[in-house]
Amino acid sequence: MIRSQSDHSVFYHHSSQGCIYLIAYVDDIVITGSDQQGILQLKQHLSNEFQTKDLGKLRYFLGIEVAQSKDGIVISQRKYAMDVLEETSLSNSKPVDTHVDLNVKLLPN
Amino acid sequence: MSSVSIPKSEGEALSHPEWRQTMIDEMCALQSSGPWELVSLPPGKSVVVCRWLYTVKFGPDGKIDRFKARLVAKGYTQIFGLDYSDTFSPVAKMASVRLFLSIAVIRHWPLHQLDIKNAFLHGDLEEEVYMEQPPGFVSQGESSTMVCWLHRSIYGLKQSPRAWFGRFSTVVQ
Repeated sequence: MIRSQSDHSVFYHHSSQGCIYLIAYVDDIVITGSDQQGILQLKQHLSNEFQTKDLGKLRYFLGIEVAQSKDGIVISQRKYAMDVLEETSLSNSKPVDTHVDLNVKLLPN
Repeated sequence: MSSVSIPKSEGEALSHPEWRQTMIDEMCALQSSGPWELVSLPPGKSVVVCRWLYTVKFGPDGKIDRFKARLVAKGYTQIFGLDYSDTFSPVAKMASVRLFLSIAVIRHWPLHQLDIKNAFLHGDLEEEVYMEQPPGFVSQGESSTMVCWLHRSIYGLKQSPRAWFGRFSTVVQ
């Protein structure tokens, strides 16, 4: 695979079979692409070199929950937000809606 | 959560069957990746100190999943230029992660996920690092004063993330 010059944790591979993209966050790996055979081989290669745990379809990565269906994906940080509330003992606090203007640039005075 | 207590010392952990077993498991994991060799400390070299860390892993239902013992090096006992130099290691940018998800959705590609077990134990060390023998697992007799000459990185070393990513990068490419 080739390492991306714009993000060194991203690797890609293009061939006549299709393409494969890999992104790494220390020991957490996400793989996608059109070359399903190649993806299987890559996973096998990784598990031969290291011991891996195949988590199947992507569900949770860096605090983002991912739900995949044939219509698309839904991402949310519900669990992450709940964990933060739990840690700060704010789980029982009352929620309040806070409106924020879009595209506001905050500058130091 | 209060029903289980984290051991305060190796002695306490080793006298506890569950914790004892997790420490033995961790030693087996370490030995299978062959991270060190027992040697006499060469003159002019310093020794990195290590310790055991104990954690209780909870399942999604909040029940105790398993006990885990991890041998970690005390990175702050390392000396720059002697047993470590470069430590930077890249991690994925959030923008890349979002781009990744977007492309996968647009192209209708499936997203796969996997994690690497004991990732940091796979890193190849470029520096010469000597570490004391793991507390509670010091070899008997003459070799008791020997130190572990590390060939592979272990958790806690300053260069471990870099050593791991270097190895991963090589294997992937």
